[in-house]
Amino acid sequence: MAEAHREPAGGSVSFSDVTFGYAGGGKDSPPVISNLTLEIAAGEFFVIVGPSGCGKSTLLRMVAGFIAPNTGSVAVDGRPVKGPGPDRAMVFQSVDGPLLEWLTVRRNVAFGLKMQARRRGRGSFDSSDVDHWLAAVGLTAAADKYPHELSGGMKQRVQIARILAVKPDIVLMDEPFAALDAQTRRLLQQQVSELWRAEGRTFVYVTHDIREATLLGQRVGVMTAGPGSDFREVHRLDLPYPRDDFSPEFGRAARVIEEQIVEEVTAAWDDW
Amino acid sequence: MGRLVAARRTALVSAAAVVAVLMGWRLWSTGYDPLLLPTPEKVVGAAGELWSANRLQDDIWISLQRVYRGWIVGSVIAVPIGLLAGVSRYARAAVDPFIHFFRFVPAIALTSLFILWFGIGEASKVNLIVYAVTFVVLVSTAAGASSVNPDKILGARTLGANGFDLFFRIILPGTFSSIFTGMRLALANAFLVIVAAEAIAAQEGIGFLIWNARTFFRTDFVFVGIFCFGVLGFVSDRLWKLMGRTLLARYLTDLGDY
Repeated sequence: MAEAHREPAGGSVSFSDVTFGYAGGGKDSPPVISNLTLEIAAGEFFVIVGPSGCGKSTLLRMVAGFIAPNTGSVAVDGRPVKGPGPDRAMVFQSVDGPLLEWLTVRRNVAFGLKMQARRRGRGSFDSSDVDHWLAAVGLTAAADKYPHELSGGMKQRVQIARILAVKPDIVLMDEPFAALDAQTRRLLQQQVSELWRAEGRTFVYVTHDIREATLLGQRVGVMTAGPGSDFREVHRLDLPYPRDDFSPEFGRAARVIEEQIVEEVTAAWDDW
Repeated sequence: MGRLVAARRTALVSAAAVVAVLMGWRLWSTGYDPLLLPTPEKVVGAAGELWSANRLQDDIWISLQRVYRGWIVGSVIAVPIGLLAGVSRYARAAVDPFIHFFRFVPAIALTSLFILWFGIGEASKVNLIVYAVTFVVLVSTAAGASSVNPDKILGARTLGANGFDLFFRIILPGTFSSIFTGMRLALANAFLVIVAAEAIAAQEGIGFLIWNARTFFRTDFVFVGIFCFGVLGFVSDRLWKLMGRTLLARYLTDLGDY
């Protein structure tokens, strides 16, 4: 597995006994996540799946540092997460939300590099980095366009390029292709898998799509239905990359995951 | 159908509608006392009379100055406060009661007060317009700043943006379209209020022209004044829109065509 890996540039992530509930949920309202513990190794591609509302995105947001657990801890490379930072960049599901409409594609991709340069007290950055990432996601020809001139798939590629440009240790992806059509989604899944294998960063990827999870993940964690979610089971997929989603092994792996999610969803219905 | 052909057709429909209304006015006005409804010719003649006496040019110029000064000063006051109220819960809590109180106090209600405070010169008139403009732009700016997509802010933070960057590189440009629209609405407000502003101790201006004409039973002058406001407002609005489409185009991609 992960034959083509360079030395992992990634960071490890550990959730220790994490409990989280949204403020304003009321004193008696149950937490979204209860006593969850998980270790993600540096350089690993970890996929989180589970029923709607079980707290998949909440986990990502804790790693990003947007929110903090009520109890327990979230740590990256052993250091507790204190807030957002460019070592942990995120690709959002929203196609129109995160990009800056008033900047060209090139300037959107350069945005993080510019922020980094400013933090280092320098105004300039290497613009060949921008060219490199534009090329890596196939957007060289669209570099001078504005986001509203792009398709949904292209916008998501801009999001991917702009976060990879800041060289994060950990790439967080929150259902990045859920709003795209099936063909575009397929191409982008391949692209993400190749980018991961080429660079060896840690990817934490949330999705509803079982095929996508099975295609991408070294491990796939299935969460229980909320409230108070935890991981029901974490599957290790010993399938070689690039994966053939028409192979019987792929089908078997996907089916196990699928069945567990269906059970969780059904159980949640019975509780109503 | 090509865009140009479509544009020409809609322009033709607008022109035809205007001509129809003018003809209706012409027919209607023949049977009336010109004191109640002057004919279009009489109004054109009155405009010529005022123009050759250099009155109309002066009145237009002075009214435009008041409108634009008040509009710009009001917007300059409103935008920073609106941005703060949009991003900071506490700033918002501090200004909210005043915004939602004064929003409902019409500028006309303040005319006498403003004369007492600012005298009978330009200051009272311009300040009245400043007042009418400020709250419109403020509410629009605050609403825009508070509704900048949170993913933009979170995304920028993960890319290393600090508070300063967030404010000037995300929130401010993300609010431009709301500021633009707020200022467009406020411009119409400024034209509404100029009539009240020029009712108070004014010696010039289109509003003064209208109030003064009433005293001398010159209904045709009143019509000239009304046309001036309509045309000046229309042209100002188009110019502002043109600026939005050119200089600010990349910030206003979320606005429609209207």
